[in-house]
Amino acid sequence: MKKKMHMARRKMSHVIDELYTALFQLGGEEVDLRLRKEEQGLRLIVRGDFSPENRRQVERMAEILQPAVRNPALVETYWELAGGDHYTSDSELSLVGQMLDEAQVEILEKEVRMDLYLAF
Amino acid sequence: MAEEPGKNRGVLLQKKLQAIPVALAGILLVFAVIAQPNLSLFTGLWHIQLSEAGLITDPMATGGVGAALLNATLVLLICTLIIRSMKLPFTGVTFACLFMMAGFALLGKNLVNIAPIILGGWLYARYRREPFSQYIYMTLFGTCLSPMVSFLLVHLQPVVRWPAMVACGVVIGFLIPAVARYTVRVHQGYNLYNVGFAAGFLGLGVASVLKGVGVEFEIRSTWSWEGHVLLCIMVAVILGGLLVTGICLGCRSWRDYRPILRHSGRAVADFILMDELGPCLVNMALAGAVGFGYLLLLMPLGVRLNGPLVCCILSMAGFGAFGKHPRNIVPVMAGAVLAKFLLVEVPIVAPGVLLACLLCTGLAPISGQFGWYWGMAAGFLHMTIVQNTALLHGGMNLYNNGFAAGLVCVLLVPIIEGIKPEPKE
Repeated sequence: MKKKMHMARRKMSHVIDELYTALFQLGGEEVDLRLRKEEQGLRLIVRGDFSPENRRQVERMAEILQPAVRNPALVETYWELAGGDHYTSDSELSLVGQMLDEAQVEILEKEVRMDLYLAF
Repeated sequence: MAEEPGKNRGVLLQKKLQAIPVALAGILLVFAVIAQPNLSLFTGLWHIQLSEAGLITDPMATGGVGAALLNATLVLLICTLIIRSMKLPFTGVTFACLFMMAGFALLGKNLVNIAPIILGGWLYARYRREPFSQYIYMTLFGTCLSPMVSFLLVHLQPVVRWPAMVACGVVIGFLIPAVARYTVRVHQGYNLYNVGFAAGFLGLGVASVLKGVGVEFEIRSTWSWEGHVLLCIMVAVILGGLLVTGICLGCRSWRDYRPILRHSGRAVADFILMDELGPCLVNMALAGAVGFGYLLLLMPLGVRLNGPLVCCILSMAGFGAFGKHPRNIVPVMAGAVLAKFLLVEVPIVAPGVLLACLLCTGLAPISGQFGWYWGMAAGFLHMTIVQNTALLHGGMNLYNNGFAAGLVCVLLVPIIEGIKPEPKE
Protein backbone atom coordinates (compact mmCIF):
# COMPACT_ATOMS: atom_id res chain seq x y z
CA MET A 1 0.00 0.00 0.00
CA LYS A 2 1.50 3.32 -1.04
CA LYS A 3 1.92 6.18 1.35
CA LYS A 4 0.32 9.32 0.11
CA MET A 5 2.64 11.82 -1.52
CA HIS A 6 1.45 14.87 0.38
CA MET A 7 1.94 13.05 3.66
CA ALA A 8 5.53 12.19 2.66
CA ARG A 9 6.13 15.86 1.87
CA ARG A 10 4.81 16.94 5.26
CA LYS A 11 6.93 14.33 6.99
CA MET A 12 10.02 15.40 5.09
CA SER A 13 9.56 19.01 6.20
CA HIS A 14 9.63 17.79 9.81
CA VAL A 15 12.76 15.73 9.10
CA ILE A 16 14.52 18.76 7.59
CA ASP A 17 13.50 20.97 10.50
CA GLU A 18 14.86 18.52 13.04
CA LEU A 19 18.10 17.81 11.21
CA TYR A 20 19.28 21.33 10.57
CA THR A 21 18.42 22.34 14.13
CA ALA A 22 20.44 19.38 15.41
CA LEU A 23 23.42 20.16 13.17
CA PHE A 24 23.53 23.81 14.24
CA GLN A 25 23.36 22.71 17.86
CA LEU A 26 26.38 20.49 17.20
CA GLY A 27 28.41 23.54 16.23
CA GLY A 28 27.70 23.54 12.50
CA GLU A 29 28.16 26.77 10.53
CA GLU A 30 26.72 25.63 7.23
CA VAL A 31 24.20 22.98 6.26
CA ASP A 32 23.57 22.01 2.62
CA LEU A 33 20.22 20.38 1.97
CA ARG A 34 19.25 18.94 -1.41
CA LEU A 35 15.81 17.44 -1.84
CA ARG A 36 14.94 15.29 -4.83
CA LYS A 37 11.57 13.88 -5.83
CA GLU A 38 12.01 10.33 -7.11
CA GLU A 39 9.55 7.87 -8.57
CA GLN A 40 8.74 6.16 -5.27
CA GLY A 41 9.67 8.77 -2.71
CA LEU A 42 11.70 11.78 -1.61
CA ARG A 43 15.48 11.72 -1.22
CA LEU A 44 17.24 14.21 1.02
CA ILE A 45 20.98 14.72 0.72
CA VAL A 46 22.46 16.57 3.69
CA ARG A 47 25.99 17.87 4.13
CA GLY A 48 26.95 19.76 7.24
CA ASP A 49 29.96 20.58 9.36
CA PHE A 50 30.23 20.16 13.13
CA SER A 51 32.58 21.05 15.96
CA PRO A 52 35.17 18.31 16.53
CA GLU A 53 34.35 18.24 20.27
CA ASN A 54 30.82 17.14 19.32
CA ARG A 55 32.01 14.13 17.32
CA ARG A 56 30.53 11.67 19.81
CA GLN A 57 27.10 13.24 19.53
CA VAL A 58 27.34 13.12 15.73
CA GLU A 59 28.21 9.42 15.94
CA ARG A 60 25.21 8.92 18.21
CA MET A 61 23.07 10.81 15.71
CA ALA A 62 24.27 8.53 12.90
CA GLU A 63 23.44 5.51 15.00
CA ILE A 64 19.87 6.55 15.76
CA LEU A 65 19.17 7.66 12.20
CA GLN A 66 19.99 4.10 11.09
CA PRO A 67 18.04 1.98 13.58
CA ALA A 68 18.04 -1.81 13.51
CA VAL A 69 14.24 -1.87 13.42
CA ARG A 70 11.65 0.62 12.30
CA ASN A 71 8.18 0.72 13.83
CA PRO A 72 5.63 2.21 11.38
CA ALA A 73 2.89 2.29 14.02
CA LEU A 74 5.06 4.44 16.25
CA VAL A 75 5.69 6.82 13.35
CA GLU A 76 2.02 7.12 12.46
CA THR A 77 1.17 8.09 16.04
CA TYR A 78 3.93 10.58 16.75
CA TRP A 79 5.58 11.87 13.56
CA GLU A 80 4.19 15.38 13.96
CA LEU A 81 6.34 15.82 17.05
CA ALA A 82 9.56 15.85 15.00
CA GLY A 83 10.86 19.39 14.42
CA GLY A 84 8.70 22.41 14.97
CA ASP A 85 10.17 23.48 18.32
CA HIS A 86 13.55 24.56 19.64
CA TYR A 87 14.31 21.40 21.59
CA THR A 88 16.33 18.71 19.89
CA SER A 89 17.10 15.52 21.73
CA ASP A 90 17.90 11.89 21.13
CA SER A 91 14.21 11.13 21.24
CA GLU A 92 13.28 13.48 18.41
CA LEU A 93 16.20 12.34 16.27
CA SER A 94 15.19 8.78 17.01
CA LEU A 95 11.72 9.62 15.73
CA VAL A 96 13.30 11.00 12.54
CA GLY A 97 15.24 7.74 12.22
CA GLN A 98 11.97 5.86 12.52
CA MET A 99 10.24 8.06 9.94
CA LEU A 100 12.84 7.41 7.24
CA ASP A 101 12.67 4.34 5.07
CA GLU A 102 16.39 4.30 4.32
CA ALA A 103 19.32 6.21 5.78
CA GLN A 104 23.03 6.26 5.13
CA VAL A 105 25.22 8.48 7.29
CA GLU A 106 28.91 9.02 6.73
CA ILE A 107 31.05 10.90 9.22
CA LEU A 108 34.23 12.57 7.99
CA GLU A 109 36.75 14.58 10.01
CA LYS A 110 34.66 17.73 10.38
CA GLU A 111 31.74 16.96 8.15
CA VAL A 112 28.74 14.65 8.12
CA ARG A 113 27.01 13.45 4.96
CA MET A 114 23.59 11.91 4.92
CA ASP A 115 21.55 10.20 2.25
CA LEU A 116 18.01 9.90 3.54
CA TYR A 117 15.00 8.42 1.78
CA LEU A 118 11.32 8.68 2.60
CA ALA A 119 8.94 6.59 0.49
CA PHE A 120 5.53 7.84 -0.63
CA MET B 1 23.73 0.56 3.55
CA ALA B 2 25.59 -0.85 6.53
CA GLU B 3 22.45 -2.36 8.08
CA GLU B 4 23.00 -6.13 7.82
CA PRO B 5 24.74 -6.70 11.20
CA GLY B 6 22.19 -4.41 12.78
CA LYS B 7 19.37 -6.45 11.23
CA ASN B 8 20.68 -9.72 12.69
CA ARG B 9 20.94 -8.12 16.08
CA GLY B 10 17.45 -6.75 15.60
CA VAL B 11 16.00 -10.19 14.87
CA LEU B 12 17.57 -11.67 18.02
CA LEU B 13 16.35 -8.75 20.07
CA GLN B 14 12.83 -9.12 18.71
CA LYS B 15 12.63 -12.74 19.84
CA LYS B 16 13.56 -11.74 23.38
CA LEU B 17 11.15 -8.81 23.34
CA GLN B 18 8.21 -10.88 22.14
CA ALA B 19 8.72 -13.37 24.96
CA ILE B 20 8.20 -10.73 27.66
CA PRO B 21 4.43 -10.06 27.22
CA VAL B 22 3.87 -13.81 26.94
CA ALA B 23 5.77 -14.31 30.20
CA LEU B 24 3.67 -11.59 31.83
CA ALA B 25 0.50 -13.32 30.63
CA GLY B 26 1.85 -16.57 32.10
CA ILE B 27 2.39 -14.96 35.50
CA LEU B 28 -1.10 -13.42 35.49
CA LEU B 29 -2.62 -16.78 34.56
CA VAL B 30 -0.78 -18.68 37.31
CA PHE B 31 -1.94 -16.20 39.94
CA ALA B 32 -5.47 -16.28 38.51
CA VAL B 33 -5.62 -20.02 39.08
CA ILE B 34 -4.08 -19.71 42.55
CA ALA B 35 -6.64 -17.05 43.51
CA GLN B 36 -9.71 -18.96 42.27
CA PRO B 37 -8.84 -22.63 41.75
CA ASN B 38 -12.41 -23.65 40.87
CA LEU B 39 -15.20 -23.08 38.36
CA SER B 40 -15.95 -19.64 39.80
CA LEU B 41 -12.93 -18.49 37.81
CA PHE B 42 -14.95 -18.87 34.60
CA THR B 43 -18.30 -17.70 35.94
CA GLY B 44 -16.51 -14.65 37.36
CA LEU B 45 -14.90 -14.00 33.99
CA TRP B 46 -18.36 -14.15 32.37
CA HIS B 47 -19.75 -11.64 34.89
CA ILE B 48 -16.86 -9.28 34.19
CA GLN B 49 -17.57 -9.36 30.44
CA LEU B 50 -21.20 -8.37 30.94
CA SER B 51 -20.93 -5.83 33.74
CA GLU B 52 -20.33 -2.10 33.98
CA ALA B 53 -16.79 -0.84 33.56
CA GLY B 54 -16.77 2.93 34.20
CA LEU B 55 -14.55 4.77 36.67
CA ILE B 56 -13.83 3.38 39.17
CA THR B 57 -15.05 -0.20 38.78
CA ASP B 58 -12.87 -2.99 40.09
CA PRO B 59 -13.42 -6.27 38.19
CA MET B 60 -11.98 -8.07 41.20
CA ALA B 61 -15.10 -7.00 43.09
CA THR B 62 -17.32 -8.12 40.19
CA GLY B 63 -15.94 -11.53 39.35
CA GLY B 64 -13.24 -12.26 41.90
CA VAL B 65 -9.48 -11.75 41.99
CA GLY B 66 -8.72 -14.77 39.82
CA ALA B 67 -11.35 -13.94 37.20
CA ALA B 68 -10.03 -10.39 36.87
CA LEU B 69 -6.50 -11.71 36.41
CA LEU B 70 -7.76 -14.21 33.84
CA ASN B 71 -9.47 -11.34 32.02
CA ALA B 72 -6.15 -9.44 32.02
CA THR B 73 -4.35 -12.54 30.72
CA LEU B 74 -6.76 -12.96 27.81
CA VAL B 75 -6.77 -9.26 26.88
CA LEU B 76 -2.97 -9.20 26.97
CA LEU B 77 -2.60 -12.38 24.90
CA ILE B 78 -5.07 -11.26 22.26
CA CYS B 79 -3.43 -7.83 21.91
CA THR B 80 0.02 -9.44 21.73
CA LEU B 81 -1.25 -11.79 19.06
CA ILE B 82 -2.74 -8.92 17.04
CA ILE B 83 0.54 -6.98 17.11
CA ARG B 84 2.60 -10.08 16.28
CA SER B 85 0.30 -11.00 13.42
CA MET B 86 0.98 -7.58 11.88
CA LYS B 87 4.70 -8.31 11.97
CA LEU B 88 5.32 -5.05 13.78
CA PRO B 89 8.58 -4.85 15.71
CA PHE B 90 8.27 -4.85 19.49
CA THR B 91 9.70 -1.61 20.85
CA GLY B 92 9.14 0.54 23.93
CA VAL B 93 5.75 1.77 22.76
CA THR B 94 4.62 -1.84 22.30
CA PHE B 95 5.48 -2.61 25.91
CA ALA B 96 3.74 0.55 27.10
CA CYS B 97 0.65 -0.43 25.12
CA LEU B 98 0.56 -4.08 26.18
CA PHE B 99 1.20 -3.37 29.86
CA MET B 100 -1.55 -0.76 29.74
CA MET B 101 -3.92 -3.26 28.12
CA ALA B 102 -3.16 -5.87 30.78
CA GLY B 103 -3.34 -3.27 33.55
CA PHE B 104 -6.59 -1.69 32.44
CA ALA B 105 -8.17 -5.11 32.06
CA LEU B 106 -8.05 -4.86 35.86
CA LEU B 107 -9.90 -1.54 35.71
CA GLY B 108 -12.65 -1.90 33.13
CA LYS B 109 -11.42 -3.30 29.83
CA ASN B 110 -12.63 -6.73 28.85
CA LEU B 111 -12.91 -8.88 25.76
CA VAL B 112 -16.46 -7.80 24.95
CA ASN B 113 -16.07 -4.06 25.36
CA ILE B 114 -12.75 -3.66 23.51
CA ALA B 115 -13.77 -5.72 20.45
CA PRO B 116 -16.08 -3.13 18.78
CA ILE B 117 -13.47 -0.39 19.26
CA ILE B 118 -10.78 -2.52 17.61
CA LEU B 119 -13.25 -3.17 14.77
CA GLY B 120 -13.74 0.60 14.43
CA GLY B 121 -9.96 1.13 14.21
CA TRP B 122 -9.75 -1.52 11.51
CA LEU B 123 -12.56 0.13 9.55
CA TYR B 124 -10.77 3.48 9.80
CA ALA B 125 -7.61 1.92 8.33
CA ARG B 126 -9.70 0.41 5.50
CA TYR B 127 -11.31 3.79 4.90
CA ARG B 128 -7.89 5.43 4.71
CA ARG B 129 -6.59 2.59 2.53
CA GLU B 130 -3.66 2.10 4.84
CA PRO B 131 -2.50 -0.93 6.81
CA PHE B 132 -4.27 -1.39 10.13
CA SER B 133 -0.84 -1.89 11.67
CA GLN B 134 -0.24 1.87 11.42
CA TYR B 135 -3.17 2.55 13.72
CA ILE B 136 -2.94 -0.38 16.05
CA TYR B 137 -1.44 1.44 19.05
CA MET B 138 -3.89 4.31 18.79
CA THR B 139 -6.73 1.81 18.49
CA LEU B 140 -5.61 -0.32 21.42
CA PHE B 141 -5.04 2.73 23.62
CA GLY B 142 -8.42 3.97 22.37
CA THR B 143 -10.12 1.07 24.11
CA CYS B 144 -9.95 3.30 27.19
CA LEU B 145 -13.46 4.38 26.14
CA SER B 146 -14.69 0.80 26.45
CA PRO B 147 -16.85 1.60 29.53
CA MET B 148 -19.20 3.40 27.17
CA VAL B 149 -19.66 0.15 25.25
CA SER B 150 -20.30 -1.75 28.49
CA PHE B 151 -22.69 0.90 29.72
CA LEU B 152 -24.91 0.50 26.68
CA LEU B 153 -24.72 -3.27 26.98
CA VAL B 154 -25.86 -3.19 30.60
CA HIS B 155 -28.45 -0.41 30.55
CA LEU B 156 -30.26 -0.54 27.20
CA GLN B 157 -33.28 -2.66 26.34
CA PRO B 158 -32.36 -6.23 25.22
CA VAL B 159 -33.51 -5.58 21.64
CA VAL B 160 -31.17 -2.68 20.98
CA ARG B 161 -28.30 -3.26 23.39
CA TRP B 162 -26.03 -5.34 21.11
CA PRO B 163 -26.39 -3.19 17.98
CA ALA B 164 -26.04 -0.03 20.08
CA MET B 165 -22.89 -1.18 21.83
CA VAL B 166 -21.27 -2.33 18.58
CA ALA B 167 -22.19 0.95 16.86
CA CYS B 168 -20.85 3.01 19.77
CA GLY B 169 -17.57 1.05 19.88
CA VAL B 170 -17.09 1.24 16.13
CA VAL B 171 -17.65 5.02 16.13
CA ILE B 172 -15.10 5.43 18.94
CA GLY B 173 -12.52 3.20 17.23
CA PHE B 174 -13.08 4.94 13.91
CA LEU B 175 -12.63 8.44 15.29
CA ILE B 176 -9.91 8.00 17.89
CA PRO B 177 -6.87 7.84 15.53
CA ALA B 178 -7.74 11.16 13.91
CA VAL B 179 -8.31 12.89 17.26
CA ALA B 180 -5.18 11.37 18.81
CA ARG B 181 -3.00 12.51 15.94
CA TYR B 182 -4.28 16.03 16.50
CA THR B 183 -3.91 16.10 20.29
CA VAL B 184 -0.27 15.04 20.15
CA ARG B 185 0.44 18.46 18.61
CA VAL B 186 -1.45 20.20 21.40
CA HIS B 187 0.63 18.85 24.29
CA GLN B 188 3.83 18.53 22.21
CA GLY B 189 4.73 15.14 23.63
CA TYR B 190 4.73 16.23 27.29
CA ASN B 191 1.76 13.99 28.11
CA LEU B 192 2.66 10.32 27.76
CA TYR B 193 -1.01 9.34 27.80
CA ASN B 194 -1.83 11.06 24.53
CA VAL B 195 -4.76 8.83 23.62
CA GLY B 196 -6.20 9.42 27.09
CA PHE B 197 -6.23 13.13 26.27
CA ALA B 198 -7.87 12.48 22.89
CA ALA B 199 -10.34 10.04 24.43
CA GLY B 200 -11.31 12.67 27.00
CA PHE B 201 -12.52 14.97 24.23
CA LEU B 202 -14.10 12.19 22.23
CA GLY B 203 -15.74 10.83 25.38
CA LEU B 204 -17.05 14.31 26.14
CA GLY B 205 -18.59 14.46 22.67
CA VAL B 206 -20.11 10.98 22.66
CA ALA B 207 -21.33 11.25 26.27
CA SER B 208 -22.95 14.61 25.50
CA VAL B 209 -24.77 13.18 22.48
CA LEU B 210 -25.93 10.18 24.49
CA LYS B 211 -27.06 12.43 27.33
CA GLY B 212 -28.93 14.46 24.74
CA VAL B 213 -30.96 11.40 23.74
CA GLY B 214 -31.76 10.61 27.34
CA VAL B 215 -28.97 8.30 28.47
CA GLU B 216 -27.94 9.11 32.05
CA PHE B 217 -24.48 7.95 33.09
CA GLU B 218 -24.55 6.62 36.62
CA ILE B 219 -21.78 4.26 37.63
CA ARG B 220 -21.76 2.25 40.81
CA SER B 221 -18.10 2.39 41.88
CA THR B 222 -16.63 -0.80 43.26
CA TRP B 223 -13.35 -1.26 45.08
CA SER B 224 -12.06 -4.66 46.17
CA TRP B 225 -10.10 -5.36 49.36
CA GLU B 226 -9.56 -9.04 48.64
CA GLY B 227 -6.38 -10.80 47.60
CA HIS B 228 -3.98 -8.15 48.86
CA VAL B 229 -1.15 -10.49 49.85
CA LEU B 230 -1.45 -12.55 46.68
CA LEU B 231 -1.41 -9.40 44.53
CA CYS B 232 1.63 -8.07 46.41
CA ILE B 233 3.45 -11.33 45.66
CA MET B 234 2.37 -11.18 42.02
CA VAL B 235 3.54 -7.59 41.57
CA ALA B 236 6.85 -8.46 43.26
CA VAL B 237 7.26 -11.43 40.90
CA ILE B 238 6.54 -9.28 37.82
CA LEU B 239 8.84 -6.44 38.84
CA GLY B 240 11.50 -8.85 40.11
CA GLY B 241 11.29 -10.78 36.85
CA LEU B 242 11.82 -7.61 34.82
CA LEU B 243 14.74 -6.63 37.04
CA VAL B 244 16.48 -10.01 36.88
CA THR B 245 15.93 -10.32 33.12
CA GLY B 246 17.34 -6.82 32.64
CA ILE B 247 20.40 -7.68 34.71
CA CYS B 248 20.91 -10.94 32.77
CA LEU B 249 20.64 -9.01 29.50
CA GLY B 250 23.52 -6.72 30.37
CA CYS B 251 22.47 -4.05 32.85
CA ARG B 252 24.92 -5.03 35.56
CA SER B 253 26.04 -1.69 36.93
CA TRP B 254 24.98 1.88 37.53
CA ARG B 255 27.05 2.81 34.49
CA ASP B 256 24.94 0.54 32.30
CA TYR B 257 21.68 1.92 33.65
CA ARG B 258 22.55 5.62 33.91
CA PRO B 259 22.06 6.53 30.18
CA ILE B 260 18.30 5.96 30.57
CA LEU B 261 18.13 8.78 33.09
CA ARG B 262 19.52 11.36 30.66
CA HIS B 263 16.32 11.25 28.59
CA SER B 264 13.68 13.83 29.34
CA GLY B 265 11.05 11.20 28.59
CA ARG B 266 9.25 13.47 26.18
CA ALA B 267 7.56 11.47 23.44
CA VAL B 268 9.01 9.77 21.52
CA ALA B 269 11.41 8.40 24.13
CA ASP B 270 11.39 4.76 23.13
CA PHE B 271 14.07 3.36 25.42
CA ILE B 272 14.33 0.08 23.51
CA LEU B 273 15.14 1.95 20.30
CA MET B 274 17.49 4.42 21.94
CA ASP B 275 19.21 2.25 24.56
CA GLU B 276 19.87 -1.40 25.24
CA LEU B 277 17.17 -3.86 26.27
CA GLY B 278 18.78 -4.71 29.62
CA PRO B 279 18.71 -1.18 31.07
CA CYS B 280 15.22 -0.70 29.67
CA LEU B 281 13.86 -3.73 31.55
CA VAL B 282 15.61 -2.63 34.74
CA ASN B 283 14.01 0.78 34.29
CA MET B 284 10.58 -0.78 33.83
CA ALA B 285 11.07 -2.64 37.10
CA LEU B 286 12.21 0.52 38.89
CA ALA B 287 9.40 2.69 37.49
CA GLY B 288 6.86 0.10 38.64
CA ALA B 289 8.65 -0.22 41.98
CA VAL B 290 8.23 3.51 42.64
CA GLY B 291 4.45 3.06 42.39
CA PHE B 292 4.47 -0.18 44.37
CA GLY B 293 6.68 1.38 47.06
CA TYR B 294 4.33 4.35 47.37
CA LEU B 295 1.37 2.03 47.94
CA LEU B 296 3.31 -0.06 50.47
CA LEU B 297 4.11 3.14 52.37
CA LEU B 298 0.38 3.87 52.60
CA MET B 299 -0.47 0.38 53.80
CA PRO B 300 -0.64 1.43 57.48
CA LEU B 301 -3.41 3.84 56.43
CA GLY B 302 -5.45 0.95 55.06
CA VAL B 303 -4.42 0.77 51.42
CA ARG B 304 -4.77 -2.73 49.98
CA LEU B 305 -3.76 -3.77 46.49
CA ASN B 306 -6.64 -4.47 44.11
CA GLY B 307 -7.38 -4.33 40.39
CA PRO B 308 -7.12 -0.56 39.84
CA LEU B 309 -3.94 -0.25 41.90
CA VAL B 310 -2.22 -3.17 40.17
CA CYS B 311 -3.33 -1.50 36.93
CA CYS B 312 -1.44 1.67 37.91
CA ILE B 313 1.71 -0.28 38.76
CA LEU B 314 1.61 -2.16 35.44
CA SER B 315 1.05 1.11 33.57
CA MET B 316 4.03 2.70 35.28
CA ALA B 317 6.18 -0.34 34.51
CA GLY B 318 5.04 -0.39 30.88
CA PHE B 319 5.85 3.27 30.35
CA GLY B 320 9.24 2.53 31.89
CA ALA B 321 10.04 1.51 28.31
CA PHE B 322 8.55 4.66 26.83
CA GLY B 323 9.45 7.79 28.74
CA LYS B 324 9.21 7.22 32.47
CA HIS B 325 12.13 6.70 34.80
CA PRO B 326 12.45 7.28 38.55
CA ARG B 327 14.15 10.62 38.04
CA ASN B 328 11.29 12.17 36.08
CA ILE B 329 8.35 10.52 37.85
CA VAL B 330 9.23 11.16 41.50
CA PRO B 331 8.95 14.99 41.31
CA VAL B 332 5.56 14.76 39.60
CA MET B 333 4.26 12.33 42.22
CA ALA B 334 5.66 14.57 44.97
CA GLY B 335 3.75 17.53 43.53
CA ALA B 336 0.53 15.50 43.43
CA VAL B 337 0.95 14.38 47.05
CA LEU B 338 1.70 17.95 48.10
CA ALA B 339 -1.49 19.14 46.39
CA LYS B 340 -3.41 16.47 48.20
CA PHE B 341 -2.18 17.71 51.57
CA LEU B 342 -2.72 21.38 50.80
CA LEU B 343 -5.83 21.52 48.71
CA VAL B 344 -7.89 18.44 48.15
CA GLU B 345 -10.60 17.71 50.63
CA VAL B 346 -10.57 13.93 50.30
CA PRO B 347 -8.40 11.36 52.09
CA ILE B 348 -5.06 10.44 50.54
CA VAL B 349 -6.23 6.83 50.48
CA ALA B 350 -9.40 7.62 48.53
CA PRO B 351 -9.49 5.57 45.30
CA GLY B 352 -9.42 8.54 42.91
CA VAL B 353 -6.56 10.19 44.78
CA LEU B 354 -4.49 7.00 44.80
CA LEU B 355 -4.95 6.61 41.06
CA ALA B 356 -4.09 10.26 40.45
CA CYS B 357 -0.90 10.05 42.53
CA LEU B 358 0.30 7.11 40.45
CA LEU B 359 -0.98 8.07 37.00
CA CYS B 360 0.03 11.73 37.17
CA THR B 361 3.38 10.30 36.08
CA GLY B 362 2.13 10.68 32.52
CA LEU B 363 3.48 14.22 33.00
CA ALA B 364 6.99 12.94 33.72
CA PRO B 365 8.42 14.57 30.54
CA ILE B 366 7.75 18.03 32.01
CA SER B 367 10.00 17.16 34.91
CA GLY B 368 12.61 15.62 32.58
CA GLN B 369 12.67 18.54 30.17
CA PHE B 370 12.26 21.58 32.42
CA GLY B 371 13.44 20.43 35.86
CA TRP B 372 12.07 18.80 39.01
CA TYR B 373 10.37 21.99 40.24
CA TRP B 374 8.25 22.25 37.10
CA GLY B 375 7.55 18.54 37.46
CA MET B 376 6.22 19.19 40.94
CA ALA B 377 4.11 22.06 39.66
CA ALA B 378 2.68 19.75 36.99
CA GLY B 379 1.84 17.07 39.56
CA PHE B 380 0.26 19.68 41.83
CA LEU B 381 -1.91 21.04 39.04
CA HIS B 382 -2.81 17.54 37.87
CA MET B 383 -4.15 16.54 41.27
CA THR B 384 -6.47 19.53 41.32
CA ILE B 385 -7.67 19.25 37.71
CA VAL B 386 -8.24 15.49 37.69
CA GLN B 387 -10.87 15.81 40.42
CA ASN B 388 -13.15 17.54 37.93
CA THR B 389 -12.53 15.90 34.58
CA ALA B 390 -14.45 12.62 35.05
CA LEU B 391 -17.69 14.59 35.18
CA LEU B 392 -17.15 15.75 31.59
CA HIS B 393 -17.19 12.27 30.07
CA GLY B 394 -19.40 10.66 32.71
CA GLY B 395 -16.55 8.49 34.02
CA MET B 396 -16.45 6.70 30.67
CA ASN B 397 -12.78 7.38 29.88
CA LEU B 398 -10.56 4.96 31.77
CA TYR B 399 -7.57 7.21 31.01
CA ASN B 400 -9.13 10.11 32.87
CA ASN B 401 -5.68 10.92 34.25
CA GLY B 402 -4.38 11.12 30.68
CA PHE B 403 -7.14 13.60 29.87
CA ALA B 404 -6.30 15.71 32.91
CA ALA B 405 -2.57 15.48 32.14
CA GLY B 406 -3.22 16.84 28.65
CA LEU B 407 -5.12 19.79 30.11
CA VAL B 408 -2.24 20.42 32.52
CA CYS B 409 0.13 20.53 29.52
CA VAL B 410 -2.08 22.99 27.66
CA LEU B 411 -1.99 25.26 30.68
CA LEU B 412 1.53 24.77 31.96
CA VAL B 413 3.84 24.21 28.97
CA PRO B 414 3.21 27.62 27.33
CA ILE B 415 3.77 29.30 30.70
CA ILE B 416 7.07 27.44 31.22
CA GLU B 417 8.25 28.22 27.69
CA GLY B 418 7.28 31.84 28.17
CA ILE B 419 9.25 32.14 31.38
CA LYS B 420 12.31 30.02 30.65
CA PRO B 421 15.15 31.42 28.55
CA GLU B 422 15.49 29.93 25.05
CA PRO B 423 17.92 27.00 24.80
CA LYS B 424 21.49 27.80 23.74
CA GLU B 425 22.46 27.17 20.10
